[in-house]
Amino acid sequence: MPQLLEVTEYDVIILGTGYIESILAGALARIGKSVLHLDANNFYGGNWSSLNFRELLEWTRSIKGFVEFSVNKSNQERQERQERIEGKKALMTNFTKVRQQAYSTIEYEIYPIPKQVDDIPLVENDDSETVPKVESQETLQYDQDDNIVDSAITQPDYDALARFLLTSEEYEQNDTIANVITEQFKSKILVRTRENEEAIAIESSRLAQLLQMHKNSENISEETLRHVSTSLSNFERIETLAVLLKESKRYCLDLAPKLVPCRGELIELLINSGVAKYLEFKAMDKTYIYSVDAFDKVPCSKEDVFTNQSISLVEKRKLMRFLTFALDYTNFPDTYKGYEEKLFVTLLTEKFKIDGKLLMAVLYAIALIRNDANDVNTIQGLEKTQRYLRSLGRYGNTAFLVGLYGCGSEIAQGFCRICAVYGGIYMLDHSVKHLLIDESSNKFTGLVDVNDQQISSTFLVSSIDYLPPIFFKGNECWETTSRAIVIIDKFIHEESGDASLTIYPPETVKNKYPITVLQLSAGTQTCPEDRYVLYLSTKANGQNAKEDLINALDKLVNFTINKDKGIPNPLFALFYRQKKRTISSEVPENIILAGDPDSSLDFEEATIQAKQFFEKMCPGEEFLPAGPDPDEEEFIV
Amino acid sequence: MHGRKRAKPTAEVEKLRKEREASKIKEYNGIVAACFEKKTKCEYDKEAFILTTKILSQNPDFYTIWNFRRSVLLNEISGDCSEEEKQQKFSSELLFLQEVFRLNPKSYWIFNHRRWCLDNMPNPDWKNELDLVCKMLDMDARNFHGWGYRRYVISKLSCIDSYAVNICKTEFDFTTTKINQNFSNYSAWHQRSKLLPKLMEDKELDDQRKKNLIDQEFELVKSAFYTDPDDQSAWLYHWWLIGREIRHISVLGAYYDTQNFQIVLAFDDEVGMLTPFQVTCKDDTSQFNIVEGHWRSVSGDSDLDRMYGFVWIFTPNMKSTFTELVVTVKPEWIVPSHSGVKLVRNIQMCCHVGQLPQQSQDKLIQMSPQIVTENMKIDPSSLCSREDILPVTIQERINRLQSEIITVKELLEIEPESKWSLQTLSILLRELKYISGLNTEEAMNNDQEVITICDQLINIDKLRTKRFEDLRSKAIFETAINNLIQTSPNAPQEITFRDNKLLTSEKTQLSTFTLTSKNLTLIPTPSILLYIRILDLSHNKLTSIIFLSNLIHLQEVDICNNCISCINGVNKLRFLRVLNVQSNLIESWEAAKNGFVKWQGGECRVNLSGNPFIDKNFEETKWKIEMNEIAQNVNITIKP
Repeated sequence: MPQLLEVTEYDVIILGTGYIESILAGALARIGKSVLHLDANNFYGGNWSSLNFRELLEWTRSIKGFVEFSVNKSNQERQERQERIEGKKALMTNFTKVRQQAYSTIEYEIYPIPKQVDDIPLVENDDSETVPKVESQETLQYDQDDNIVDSAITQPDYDALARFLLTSEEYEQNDTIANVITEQFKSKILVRTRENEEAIAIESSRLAQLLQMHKNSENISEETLRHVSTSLSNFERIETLAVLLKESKRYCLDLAPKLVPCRGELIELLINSGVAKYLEFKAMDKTYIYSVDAFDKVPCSKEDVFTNQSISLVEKRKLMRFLTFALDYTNFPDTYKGYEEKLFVTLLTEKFKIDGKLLMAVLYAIALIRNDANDVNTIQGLEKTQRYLRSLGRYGNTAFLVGLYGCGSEIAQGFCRICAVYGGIYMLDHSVKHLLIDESSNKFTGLVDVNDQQISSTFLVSSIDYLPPIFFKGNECWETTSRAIVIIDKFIHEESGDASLTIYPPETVKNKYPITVLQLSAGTQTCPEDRYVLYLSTKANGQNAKEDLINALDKLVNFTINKDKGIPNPLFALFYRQKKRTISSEVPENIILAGDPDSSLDFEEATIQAKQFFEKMCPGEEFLPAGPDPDEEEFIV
Repeated sequence: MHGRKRAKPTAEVEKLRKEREASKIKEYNGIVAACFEKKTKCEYDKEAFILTTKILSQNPDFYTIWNFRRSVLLNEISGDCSEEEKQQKFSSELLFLQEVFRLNPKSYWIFNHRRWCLDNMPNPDWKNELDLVCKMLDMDARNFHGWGYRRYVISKLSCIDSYAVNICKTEFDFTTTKINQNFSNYSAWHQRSKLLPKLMEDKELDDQRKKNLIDQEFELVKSAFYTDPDDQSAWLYHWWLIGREIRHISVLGAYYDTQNFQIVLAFDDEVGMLTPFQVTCKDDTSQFNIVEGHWRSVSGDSDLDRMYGFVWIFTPNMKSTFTELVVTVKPEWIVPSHSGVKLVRNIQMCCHVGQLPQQSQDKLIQMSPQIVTENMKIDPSSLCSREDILPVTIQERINRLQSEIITVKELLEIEPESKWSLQTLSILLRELKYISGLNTEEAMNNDQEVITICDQLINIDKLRTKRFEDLRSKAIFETAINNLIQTSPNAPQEITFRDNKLLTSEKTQLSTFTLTSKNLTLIPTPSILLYIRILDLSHNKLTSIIFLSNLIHLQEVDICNNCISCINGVNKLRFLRVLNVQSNLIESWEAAKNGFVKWQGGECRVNLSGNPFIDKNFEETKWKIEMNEIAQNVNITIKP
């Protein structure tokens, strides 16, 4: 029996619990608006979400999965678009498909966990087990010492199985192929934990899907064959997956990882609104910059400059001179007179004589330029630098705070909590079928939810994911960010603390745009002890996310097994491209479209946007004023 | 609470709150009164103790109450109180202190009481105290109470063998941590300056490692002032590291004036006399006998002024012609004017006997310019300022100063207006000069640089203009003296100088000194000019002429166009014939007139024209009569 809403009229309905939607939810409820807040996901945060490992895999598969099947469904969807309900134009939403547009080139890889001597082998060492369904009954050999399959002897068997599965008429159905693969894995993996079973299932279904895709093609390439056959014998992959699934709940993996500047729009909003008391933060410890196979600590604050041993005394002075000026540059217009329209780089090199590594550090680690420095003029550069510098010293020697338990969902939930405190109604895992538009006025009037209940409101605040596909014109040029989430087993820099930022300036790892790597450790409550999460991001440039980021990752992580004990080993890497969509077609004016995460490292632009939306909806009203003094709680009416 | 809206407190609620506060104040005053009553009655009982607890947990800065509390505590532990009970009592006292510390982490009385407890308890836990003070300094790394307390705790811990070994090193590392967190921390640098000399006492450190340690210190502090040249904490530590050589006070010369039966003794610095200097003479049997008499300095006008000075006069009780008069001065007999100078060894000075210079060209009565210059030098055999951290040779000292000069100059290339850099450079240059000697070319160049630096600083650092004007005056004066000596026709080419003894051959007769239009604000060492008869210091910025009292041979003084506000220091100048104080800042007739009270000179022309007092109330006739009454030989010129 679906739970129907008692109240079906609201001031505002909000679709999606992303960052902007949630701020608006809090702000609107705070001033007394009635708010209904829905999310089709069963978690908070939408495209800004923090997921645990299992959820992340699920998310990956749901987004990827749709890619493979969407081709067939497009006709069907076109028919579904036109409908009328009670004289209103009913526009069908398609959350799954629309959300999928925001992502591309998704791929993940799972790596073997480096072996400890006393580890219990997951795969049995019994020679008697054989590969099923294959005529060749030769046995598989496992090395006693490190449990790595001795491929020289056994690989042909897997090749044979792979070839068999790819060509056999017998196994047309996805499920049946998956079953065969599952059996194959199970025959080798004797430790039957829940995670092992789950890992086998996930891996079998992934391989089955892969096989299914290639079955349709005429020629099976050697490459495909090799891939399938190695996957069939890759028990370590399952082993790693099982471990990650087991510790899944201890991960909070951000789809759009961001930092909170210690002075800025968001932090002031958190403090003023009182949302800060729901959240916990840690200071980001250090910033590193890469140049020619070495990572240097970036001297950002006065203390950093003082303690930094890689820059000379004269450089220290030059840098401090610039930083002191930039902090307060508007009071010294003479210093940059004539440079306003020139490149920021020109000001730095000509006026402040900053060059070499130091120049890179100022541009990419302090001003945090995310694209091409040749597009940044002096004023823009100074603004960026000032924004960074103002953040220093407020919460210790750092410019940024890192949210504990992930960033996006936590902050979004904080604002949702304000909304709930002031009477907002929440329903997660609740999707929307149609948006209703009054044709004469071209205004949004309400929606039909998954229970076919009609709910009306004056305003609709919606994540782009809920926008009916009819509004999308296709082939639009969206700001695209290549991202990666990588789980590793060691710190990438010694003494880097719980959170660190590493920056690759352009052209240092064959990258056109700067790449940032945010490393978090267990101290930030986003991963278990002895695990570290890397978030890589850069402006998209090459063919896919992996191509954009792999070189940077290669400098930090050991992709060759046991090559070097000191370098972190990867366990899992997810690459994807994430787009900040813009809608060029006309949307009814009472629909507020809350945007996707942008490519920046912070929430500043998004916060400003949320505030502007609020002012548009409720002119003259105060934006998230402080709640009552907790000391006066005794005077609740 | 969800879903319910809150309302503002009403006026009634506010009123209630105020009433509650008023009753709190009343209650507090009541407790204080009760406590004082106990104190007056000397009732050191449990109740008194509870009262002090109540007061101090609200107001930990009430030191009278702390004192009373100690009396109560002492009373409690006197008598048959066991050691364990005592320990228990003080332990709970320490806990109480920890609580009130939160109310005010910078209260002298809390720290005072804590020390008292620890000093009185049977088994103080110093390790615990160290942990506590670490926490304090984590909360506020610049709380000097905390640092002071830390030194106290460390001094106690270093008496415990198990800690004593490494405590210097760990403390030193602790200051490094704090400095790295924020180097703008005087307390941390200060702590370091206390620890570095102790670290150097480590016998396991060889000279090279000691030297490396010092080099590291210089690197650290350089990194700080390159990072922020405006942060004075780093500069002050740098100054401490460089150190200043203690300059040796020396006697410029001594002679016996046979006409007036007086010994004149001149120091190159102002000294106070604790024990009269000894005067001996050779009698007929070649025995040295003590000559009785009394000493006074020629400084200023009052008897108090004459307790110290540059130039001292000895008047023997018996006026007779002495042969081979010797004056002895021991270090412990004098008080230096400041800590930067000292008398290092006994001085035995043979007086030269003769008549006053203006009556005969007697060669004997002279100061040697060579001695003047030599004495301004540091004695190379005893560099002492940095012995506490690392004994250095003179060459090492010169090398250090030179390398620091380069470092600071590099900084000045980027920050030409950095006042701390400029000041440091002036210090370094002057230190170098004192080592290499006043009369070297390098020293002359250094002085020129210092003058340029001062000119800059006077413009940059308006709040300290006077200081830099004085420093500049010193450099100008020393340059002038040097020039005087260099250009003197009789200056000997070679100087042999030993044990502060005056040379008996190759003396120079210099009697005129001119230094005009240099913006001088002071004459740093007037005794150097002791032999001068004609002095021209016109067109400067001197504010006082009291130093003239030292120049007892003066005949003509031109000091017009300065900033002098009164006439003093001249009434004992017996040979003064001309005094030009035209166009100064003398505001009243009295300020001019009083300088001639007890006039001891002869005929003297004094030009007072162009001073402000004349414009105010021009009474030429009256003033001339008055002047005639106090000093009839003095003829004044007064023109508006």
